[in-house]
Amino acid sequence: MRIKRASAFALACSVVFFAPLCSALADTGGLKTFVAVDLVGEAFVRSKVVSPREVEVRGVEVFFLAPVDPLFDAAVGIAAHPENGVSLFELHEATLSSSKLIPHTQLRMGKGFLYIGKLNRIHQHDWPFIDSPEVQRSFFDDEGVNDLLLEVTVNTPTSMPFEATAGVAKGWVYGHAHNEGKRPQVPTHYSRVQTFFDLPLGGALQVAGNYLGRTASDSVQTQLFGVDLTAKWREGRRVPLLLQGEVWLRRVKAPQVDREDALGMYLFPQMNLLDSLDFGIRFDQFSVLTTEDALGESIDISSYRIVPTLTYKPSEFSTFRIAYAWDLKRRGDATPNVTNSSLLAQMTYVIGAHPSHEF
Amino acid sequence: MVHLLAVAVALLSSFKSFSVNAQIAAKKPLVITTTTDLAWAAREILGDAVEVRSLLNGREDPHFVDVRPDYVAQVAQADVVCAVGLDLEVGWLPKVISKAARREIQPGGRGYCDFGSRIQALDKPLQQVDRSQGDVHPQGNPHYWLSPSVLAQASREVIDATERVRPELKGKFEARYSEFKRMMLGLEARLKARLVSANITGEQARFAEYHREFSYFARSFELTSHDTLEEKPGLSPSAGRLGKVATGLRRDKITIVLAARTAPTRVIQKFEEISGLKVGVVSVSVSQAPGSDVETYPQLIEKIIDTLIAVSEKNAAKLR
Amino acid sequence: MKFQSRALGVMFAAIVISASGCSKKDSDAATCSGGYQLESLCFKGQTNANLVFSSGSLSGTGSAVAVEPLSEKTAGGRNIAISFSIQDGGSFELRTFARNDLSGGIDIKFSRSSGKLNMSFKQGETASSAKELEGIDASAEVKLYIDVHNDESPAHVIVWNGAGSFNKEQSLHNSEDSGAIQPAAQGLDKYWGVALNRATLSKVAVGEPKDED
Repeated sequence: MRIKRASAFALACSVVFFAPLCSALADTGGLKTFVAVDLVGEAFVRSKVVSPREVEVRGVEVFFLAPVDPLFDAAVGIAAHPENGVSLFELHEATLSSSKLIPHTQLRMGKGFLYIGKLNRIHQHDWPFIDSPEVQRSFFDDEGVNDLLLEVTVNTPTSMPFEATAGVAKGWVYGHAHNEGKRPQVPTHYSRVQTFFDLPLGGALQVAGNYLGRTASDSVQTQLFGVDLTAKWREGRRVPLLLQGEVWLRRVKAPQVDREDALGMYLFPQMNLLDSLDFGIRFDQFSVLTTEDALGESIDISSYRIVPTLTYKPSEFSTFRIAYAWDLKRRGDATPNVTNSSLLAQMTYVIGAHPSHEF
Repeated sequence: MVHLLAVAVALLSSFKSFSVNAQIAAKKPLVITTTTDLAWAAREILGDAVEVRSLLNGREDPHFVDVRPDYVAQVAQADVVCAVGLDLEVGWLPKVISKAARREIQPGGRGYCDFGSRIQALDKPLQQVDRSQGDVHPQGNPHYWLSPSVLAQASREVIDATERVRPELKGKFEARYSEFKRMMLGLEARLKARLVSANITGEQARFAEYHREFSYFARSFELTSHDTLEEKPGLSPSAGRLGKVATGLRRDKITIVLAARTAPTRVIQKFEEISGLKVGVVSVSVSQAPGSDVETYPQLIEKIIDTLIAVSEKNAAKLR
Repeated sequence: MKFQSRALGVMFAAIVISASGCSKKDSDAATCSGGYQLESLCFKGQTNANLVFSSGSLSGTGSAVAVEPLSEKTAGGRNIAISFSIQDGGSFELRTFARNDLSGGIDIKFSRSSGKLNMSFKQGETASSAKELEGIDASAEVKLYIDVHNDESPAHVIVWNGAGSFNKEQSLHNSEDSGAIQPAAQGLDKYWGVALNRATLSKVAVGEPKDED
């Protein structure tokens, strides 16, 4: 639920000005604060969309983390995103978690992003590229699926590491919603099983299988099956090679409608050119596998996006990126044709507490 | 299907964790350290009574490590987790420990061990620090393990942590610890004497370093840090900075330049081109790689001293 | 160098893997025989439709479904540009993101009352109240650009007359505005069509949404 503009402004002021004071006075409480800013620009070079995007602050995230007591830790995150040209604050996270109640088990409850996939689990300003792949936008509402949740993650203390997560979320809404939604017939439920391997030349691979399901109040049933992988080679602060990708199949069954299956994926290889300079190319593909026209004849339309991206990271705390995106569409066996191209730019920075180095 | 599998794994793990905990009491305690240097010290002191493993293998830069699931899995099995501390592992260890979800090894728990809490830190900033000064460690310089005497002092921490989790082992390590301290002080004295024999004393004992990580080493071996190639810690130096440092070193006849193997090779090569001086590139951690020439801590420190002396002689000839 | 060349090899493999999509053989494009060809779009009249197709315009009373789906995915967004006229007391409906029998979608109904054009929404059995679209002379041909974002909940509809820029501030109607009429939910499928009641559809085109949220 979005906070109204006036109270959002007040909240933002109080957060920005009060948090450092809080931090200074409440040091013994272990309060950690960080603020992340994500500024993005996009210029359509060749487009059928009449209004080009401008530079905008895509997000400002303010995060508070602290132990509540010997058993529980808390995280509170609010984020401002532009809505009709105005930045509106919304609650991203208000969770209570514990890794001290049951051995090898983390519990998390409250409002937050579901622990599923790869991009859905990390802050958008930490993504290794600027824009959201179509599979992420279509299946997870751009930044990610956020809801009231109860989640359990178990790490097996075995030589081959396994991490298994199971969760359930309120599910009244899913994706971009303008109201509080309605009670679903089956709430959103999800799971993820992850493992990890060493790779030659000092690399490592993390791979996971994911599932998400729900049945909305109008009996529309949605199921998502996905695999996410991250392969990384690291030498000190340099990452000579990164390979990140996800592939998802979504099945939607609405009453008296044939099931719709859609397949989306992205793959992002990136290599280090110089100390602080990386170059990568992202390949997106999205197809609805079961499209037919009104007369029942099958139609095969696939869309692609190719995004070469140059990243400059002068330190762990700031990033400058520039990218060029080509959108292509292919119908049947025809050659894909370019429908749009755009120039993208991004600047991000983090101030406050030191963020974790996620794999 | 994946959903059911996840639930099954979660249930099985819950059962397994109870049986694992029961077995832990019967098995040797497991000490996990972040770095190989702490692991070496722990093995020397604790001997066969304890199993010791290191998360890192000695080739990494401990500042820049990812939260890897295999680290989580190892830490999840540990009775004791030891860190260098002084915020060296702030980017990864807290998350690893949290994900391992074992109350005993979390900060403040019986099995949490912070070597850095035992020492008087050097290079502690005198005023408020912020990131405009680079990647400054507000609690002081964490690279203390390069001093044999300081590492010996810090290593007391692993004994206390092990005895907290296994009270039946209390008092069993005192003799080994005394021998360990004697050996480390002996190592320091012997290598100090080598430096004296090589005439690396006084003015000749000044050196430059890529990153300020030899402060404790310098104090132990009576060396003086003259400058760093990095203008600000954690930031790759510009060509202009390298030139400025090179000019200063040649002017002041500094013959020793040291850099860790994790320093950017390109920058080191550039500095050697600009300055005409040879940089001594050294391992700054014990290595677990088979066939490595720094498999033990004494080998590590001796190798640094050897390199230092060799580089000094080579550069002295160039600066005449 | 060895590492860089391996990295390039991985990237090349990624290009190859990604460029080969899973595609199935597309059937030959359907012809519009027996249907109504309005510019590039083919419509097929539904049962009991009493429609006349003349000089590129479709008139009368009845509904017709577009052969080509509005979007390849149900949770998508499109813009529909239309020119239509309505006799007094009649109506023109755009049925979007519906089943192929045009039920279950986001229905946008325009009705004429004297010179005023009213608009209302319906999804399933739930209809909104009617609202006058100001500044439109319903006695003449009406030209509108309508965004339907069926990837939002409920579906988000924005209507422009094309005179200004395509942003929310210059729209004739934005269903997200406080107090504005809006669809009750999302459309259930990806088909679309028109339902005429003593109305004429003279121009129609489909494209990418004019305003992306």
